[in-house]
Amino acid sequence: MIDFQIVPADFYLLLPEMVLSVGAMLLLFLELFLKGNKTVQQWTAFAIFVVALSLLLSQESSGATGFGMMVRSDLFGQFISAVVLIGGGLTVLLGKEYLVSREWHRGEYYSLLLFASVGMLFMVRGLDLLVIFLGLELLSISLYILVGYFRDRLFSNEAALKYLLLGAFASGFLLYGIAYTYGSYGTTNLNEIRTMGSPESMTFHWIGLSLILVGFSFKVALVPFHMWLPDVYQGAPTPVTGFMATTTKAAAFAAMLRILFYGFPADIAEWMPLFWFLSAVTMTVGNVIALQQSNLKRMLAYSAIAHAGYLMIGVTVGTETGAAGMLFYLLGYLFMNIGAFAVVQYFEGKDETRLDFESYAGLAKKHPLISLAMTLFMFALAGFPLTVGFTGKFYIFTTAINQGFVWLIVIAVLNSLISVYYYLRVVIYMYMKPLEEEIEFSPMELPAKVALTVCVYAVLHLGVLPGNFITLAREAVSAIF
Amino acid sequence: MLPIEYYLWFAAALFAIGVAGVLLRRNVIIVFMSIELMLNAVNVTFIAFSRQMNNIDGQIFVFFVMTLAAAEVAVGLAIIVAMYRNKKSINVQDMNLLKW
Amino acid sequence: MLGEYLPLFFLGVIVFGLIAVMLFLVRLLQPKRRSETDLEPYESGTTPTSFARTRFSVKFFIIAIIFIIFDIEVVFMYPWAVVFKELLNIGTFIFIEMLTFLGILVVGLIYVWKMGALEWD
Repeated sequence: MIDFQIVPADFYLLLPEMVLSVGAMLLLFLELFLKGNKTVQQWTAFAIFVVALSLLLSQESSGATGFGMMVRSDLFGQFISAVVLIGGGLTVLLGKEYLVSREWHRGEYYSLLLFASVGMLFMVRGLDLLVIFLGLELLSISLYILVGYFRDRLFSNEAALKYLLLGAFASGFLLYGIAYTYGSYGTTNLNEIRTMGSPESMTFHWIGLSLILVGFSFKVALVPFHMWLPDVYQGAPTPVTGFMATTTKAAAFAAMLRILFYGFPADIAEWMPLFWFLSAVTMTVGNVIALQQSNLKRMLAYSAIAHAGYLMIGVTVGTETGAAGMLFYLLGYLFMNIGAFAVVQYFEGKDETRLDFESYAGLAKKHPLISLAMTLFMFALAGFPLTVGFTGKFYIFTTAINQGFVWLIVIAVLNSLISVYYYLRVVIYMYMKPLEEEIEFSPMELPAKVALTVCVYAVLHLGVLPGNFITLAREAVSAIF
Repeated sequence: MLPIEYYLWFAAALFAIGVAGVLLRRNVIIVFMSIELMLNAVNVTFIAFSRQMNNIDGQIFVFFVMTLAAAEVAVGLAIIVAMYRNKKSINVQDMNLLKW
Repeated sequence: MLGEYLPLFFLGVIVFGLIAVMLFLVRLLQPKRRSETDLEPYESGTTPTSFARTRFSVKFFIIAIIFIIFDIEVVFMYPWAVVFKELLNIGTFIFIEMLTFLGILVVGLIYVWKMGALEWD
């Protein structure tokens, strides 16, 4: 056990988390004591996200540790935390109409979003397996409730129960892995594990690390641990799906990177064949099954699996540039996917009937701007040039090629080509097919419009001028190597 | 004192029973109990290592695992109750609205 | 040595002997006719009103859920209490720490209370 004295600087380090936690509790109180219009809750939640983000960005990224090396403030943590907080803020802006139309617009929703964000921040800034694990669980438990948020809808119940059962199952594996890691190193602190270098027992080390990897594979949904994801994404309320798909993926991949690259740098090369295999299988299975989907939410879910496969290339490569590519791609993925889900949620109607491709027929004539935004997001997800989808993929793929992973990139490029088919199908339906039925959508409210514009702008900006952000990602990654 | 392998094998057996229960049983409550069994196997492992190495960290971890298990069960029960109200069944096989 | 177990042996003889004597006396003294009530499960001395495996009200579940949540927190108070005196010499932080922890729990309690989850009806 590390003896430590708690100093005020430790609390300064955790200010973003504290603001988020207090804010989440404040929102519960607002819900209790403030009747009537819930717009106050929405703006409070948004303000808390903004405050937390500005506190986070104002911190020094010196690699200072706090609370006896339990948390570490470095650029890597800051980068992914910023992704999480931006995602949270956008979700808050986008979700209101969806919830209001279903009469479920309540303060608890925002409170749970904030709690989930606290969990993710701890996950990416924790330096001890205990803290990472607790953050993961805080995130997971908040998400179980958010997925089952429409408690009178069977879809939502079923998705929540499946998520909970498989999530808890995965946590069991992760914990068992942590237990064996503890057994082989005598500590759960990543910094101590790193300085120790070699474990006391090689067997325990292997058991521990492989079980931790199984746990994380569940959380980021790598094939063959992906079965829960399509059901959960389809059954969850659409704003929650957008939030989960982007921020959770970023946080889980970041935690995985920190554990692997920071804690066990010696093992990356040995595990490479396994990562190679996981990456190739995940993107292929995700893309091939996505081809056959008729439900747009489910199609995007399988596309999320495929993207997890692309991201795994960064882990497979195992160099700084590979991880930097992942960070940049996660940032871009945030905007394109949240944007895509925002459009889906706008068009899907009150009882989730308008989720298949046919109901997108001819929408471009009536809603030219939103259709244009959707087209951009689909192009970005497919990886067309001038969007962030292209720059991100290009960066990861070239890094891998330079390291000699030619066959993996051949598979990845083929997969990207396959994916063009199902992404463009949406666009074709919107622009080429005749309008089937006249449906009046209530006009989008201003906050949602702003959020969607931000997504569009970010996708284009990161696609055309990625330079600064790639440099930032590279600096961020150097903190964990 | 018994050698640590005994405890580890015992925990591994518990964990395996838990995994089997999750995969094979159909009643959600029993699946939940199996997950608890897995978590308790983890706890046994932690305590065994902690005793062997004379290091208290593992026992602290156990406290957090216990708390987490309680929180998970609470949320799980709440979801099960909500589902039972809508569906009148807690059988995993009846969860077929979303195809697996 | 076996001699050490001799008292245990006598204890066993006495216990089993007493049981045998009691069972014999019951046979000898009990009333001869048996009624329906004798065969029913024993339920605090009153006659059972219905079958035991009926469905419970969902209210019990809610109370159980709340109980689990607030019950498990004691796990953190035991270690805290053990080191409390020792760490109080360094500063009052340990006291404030537990107050914060309990404060967070109280927020939850107030929420549960105001939402009406503790009302039975």
